[in-house]
Amino acid sequence: MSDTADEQLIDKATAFAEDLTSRIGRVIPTAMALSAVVVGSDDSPRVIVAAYDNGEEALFPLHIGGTRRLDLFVKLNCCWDRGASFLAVEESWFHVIPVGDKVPLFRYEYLRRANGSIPAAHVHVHAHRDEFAYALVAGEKGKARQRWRAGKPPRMAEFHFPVGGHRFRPCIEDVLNAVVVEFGVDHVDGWEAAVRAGREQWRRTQLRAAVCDAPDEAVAALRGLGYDVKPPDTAVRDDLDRLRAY
Amino acid sequence: MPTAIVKSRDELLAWREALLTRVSMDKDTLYDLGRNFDLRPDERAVYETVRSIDYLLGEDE
Repeated sequence: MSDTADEQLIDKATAFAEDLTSRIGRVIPTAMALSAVVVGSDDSPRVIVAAYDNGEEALFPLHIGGTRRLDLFVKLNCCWDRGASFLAVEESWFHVIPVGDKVPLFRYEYLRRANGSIPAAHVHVHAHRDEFAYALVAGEKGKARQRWRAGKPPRMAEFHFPVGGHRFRPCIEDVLNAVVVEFGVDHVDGWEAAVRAGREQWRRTQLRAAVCDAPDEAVAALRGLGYDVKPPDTAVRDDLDRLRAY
Repeated sequence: MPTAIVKSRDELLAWREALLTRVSMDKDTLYDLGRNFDLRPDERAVYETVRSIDYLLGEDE
């Protein structure tokens, strides 16, 4: 163990892991907890937040009627944001997997630095439909067609369903809410209130970030509500990359 | 596991080596099978952990 890592980074990462663990534990019964792994003796600003068991990343078991039927994989790669003032999620994975299976049912994923052909926030569905596979290779320029030329069969799971971009993507509560309602996954008492509270917390955070992307829109909205808003002396430019990102 | 785990670069390298030994695979093979969801759950746990170590080391794809 090294103790020379950035103490502020460790504090932020620890708080983030504990908060996320608490949010999950208020919806599903679990003894699992997320940990934050940080590089010591290094100036690396990177952090992994995941559950660990015996030195390996672990899954949150999901029970239905008391029997473990599914697993939830949760992992977030984080880093200092500009100015090293807060921890930003660079990538995240929320996978729902049948117990003992190699292949998830579906995956919610986020890539902060996605290239233009992949939506930053997206869902993969591991299912099959002939018509979907046919459509994937129907166009000469589609990604699936290019993979097909390289010998890879078209798969629905390769399709990235976009879900809200950087700011309006789903949070862990959305995934937990879905598995409880759709699959009947066992939950703890008060889960609905926890889901609503967690979702509100997430959306308030994202709303603040979204305001930074387009401050004039926030000003206009606030003035419409009767607020008196004084702009700064130096105008803040819109973050068009964020606003327009796939 | 503690909430915060601080690892030196040498510890991360040793951790990765031990994981690859555990599944008797080199990293390229593990990554190829992992990308295609062709790993057993125990192997997938190793794959995800190795990916994380690579991220921390700045050796991610």
